[in-house]
Amino acid sequence: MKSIKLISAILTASLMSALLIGCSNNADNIKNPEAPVETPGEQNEKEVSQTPEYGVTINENSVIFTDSRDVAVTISKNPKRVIVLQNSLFEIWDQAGGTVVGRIEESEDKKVENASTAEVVGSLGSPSLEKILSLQPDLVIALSNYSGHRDIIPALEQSNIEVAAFDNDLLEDYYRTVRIFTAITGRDDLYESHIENVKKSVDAIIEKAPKDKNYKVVILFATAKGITVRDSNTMVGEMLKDLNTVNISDNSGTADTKTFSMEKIIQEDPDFIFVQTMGTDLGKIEERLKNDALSNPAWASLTAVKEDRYIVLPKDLYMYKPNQRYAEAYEGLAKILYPEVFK
Amino acid sequence: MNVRNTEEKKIKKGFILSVFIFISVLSFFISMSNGAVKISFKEIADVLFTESSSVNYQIIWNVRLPRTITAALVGTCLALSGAILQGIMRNPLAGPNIIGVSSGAGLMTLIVIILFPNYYYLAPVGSFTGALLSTLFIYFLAWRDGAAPTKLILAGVAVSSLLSAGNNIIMTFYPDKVSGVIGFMVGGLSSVNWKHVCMIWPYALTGIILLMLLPNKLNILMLGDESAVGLGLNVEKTRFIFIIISSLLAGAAVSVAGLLGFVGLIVPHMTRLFIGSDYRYLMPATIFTGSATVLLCDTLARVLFAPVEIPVGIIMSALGAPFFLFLLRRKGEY
Repeated sequence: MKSIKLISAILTASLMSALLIGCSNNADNIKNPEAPVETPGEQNEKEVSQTPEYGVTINENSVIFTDSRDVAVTISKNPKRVIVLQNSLFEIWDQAGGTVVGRIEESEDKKVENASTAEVVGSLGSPSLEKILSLQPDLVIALSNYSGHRDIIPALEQSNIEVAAFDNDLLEDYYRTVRIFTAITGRDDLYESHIENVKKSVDAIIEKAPKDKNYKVVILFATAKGITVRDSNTMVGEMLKDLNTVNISDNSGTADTKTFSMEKIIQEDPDFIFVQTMGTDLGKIEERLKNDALSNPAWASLTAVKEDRYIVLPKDLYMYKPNQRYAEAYEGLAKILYPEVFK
Repeated sequence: MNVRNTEEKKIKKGFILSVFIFISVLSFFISMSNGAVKISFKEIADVLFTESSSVNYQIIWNVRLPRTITAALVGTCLALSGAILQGIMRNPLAGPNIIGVSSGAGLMTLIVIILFPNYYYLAPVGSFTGALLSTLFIYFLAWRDGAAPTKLILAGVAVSSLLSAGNNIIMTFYPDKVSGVIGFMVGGLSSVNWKHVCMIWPYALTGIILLMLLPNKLNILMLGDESAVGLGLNVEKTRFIFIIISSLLAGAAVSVAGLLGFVGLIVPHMTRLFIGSDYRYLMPATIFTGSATVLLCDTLARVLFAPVEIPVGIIMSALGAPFFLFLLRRKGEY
């Protein structure tokens, strides 16, 4: 009887200790999200430059920044095998002189260029962890606001794969991403030429836009059921705000995209109505949308509809991110708003 | 004594019915006089009787009035559809969802809006066809020498989960496009105009007329299949007709307002708690309680965070469910 007790005690003790050791090992393995990821030789590394406005530190062999998850990351420069989990981010990566071994499926109306040899690792919403791991990447570039991406990041990090998550919504996100990507690829020359071109052109357009018109605008998301509007915290909304217009849906509610009151739209009677659509055949869908607006007495009563300032925006510049074509996107809107200034 | 009792009951039910009618009419006026833009009673009366091109005229005539009418009709259609289904299935959990209306309409709408965005304007037609097709499919699956209620319900649950899988697949593969259909999924009336009124009123009217002629048949079906056959009713044929009517009613409502699951399930119950299960009273009462529920909830949806609107489906579930539980407890049925 005694021996049974003794054996039980030993077994329990060994189980407990195994558990504790397991836990402590695990605890060691879990990275502190606040702490920078250490890479070999980092301590002795020389800091080459710092870009305070984007919070990016560029060392000789690595780039340190806080990514969009609010996690400090250290990414080794010139990674050989890279997978990018959004095609718009891939476009920026490509412009920054990077190459990839994996990407996600392309949509029918926006083909991916310069990645013909890259393997497809799944869809934007649900990339395949197995497929990604099988490609043995050095770096995975993800989006921070997609659960399908966030969910696989811990597993990637546990496999010692460097991961950085980005926001890709507004112009500032684009500038920062270009800064980080060109730092990682070590192509400062591209950063200078590329960003200078885009930024200077965009700034020039904003500067040139009249400041006294204060046109009232509304951005509609056309294919949604219900009247869905987008405020100045969205890509097109930000562009229009930069061009000195007033979005009638700003300051109401916290969401960027919201269901809005038709009554309020009639009362405000916006000067311009911009329509974003997911449709691919722009000519056809534009005609259809305009007919819809004209045949609906409530919409037809609006000045913007009567005076043909109901504008259906092309998808490539205003639904997908324009990236290196940001200046073109700004100019397009400026020409619509101020034809007398932008000819 | 018995005759007197029946007479008293009739008077009582007649009284409850008139209260429902009053509430429904009152809800109509509440809906007409409230919105994101404040317009006084006098101004509303002015624009209703004199045509003008003023902003208020546009708001009242082309936004608020069609929306109010549509809300009333949507409520009527869904509540009636639910009441019929609960009757013919003899199951209190039956509702338009059980005959696949929601899942069928949902899948078709997703397919149109996400996979064929160029044809976005066909979404209402798509959801209507989806609702009808899935009902017929469920009926076909449940059929073996007749479609017994239990089989219908089981087939309904199976088909609904199959179609929901389809919904989820589309949403997983196109997460960037999902924002376009969320409004439909929770149900809302934000973009309603006269076109929608035209889309729904023929179904609502036909449904109401047909149902006014048939309440006795529903009462008989409630007794169970054997008793109904004994009373000379062609059970299968009657049940099929009722299923098609309720699918048409719910399909029309869903194609206009999105998936408002709550009305079809709970409003008939609430009404039954007040007026009993006799379909001669329940049917007309449901018309008024259904319309009043959607009218009041939609008014709240428009006014609460104006000018931002919240989908009416959310208001309905948030307020309706606790109210329903309160009623059940008071009546001692829960």
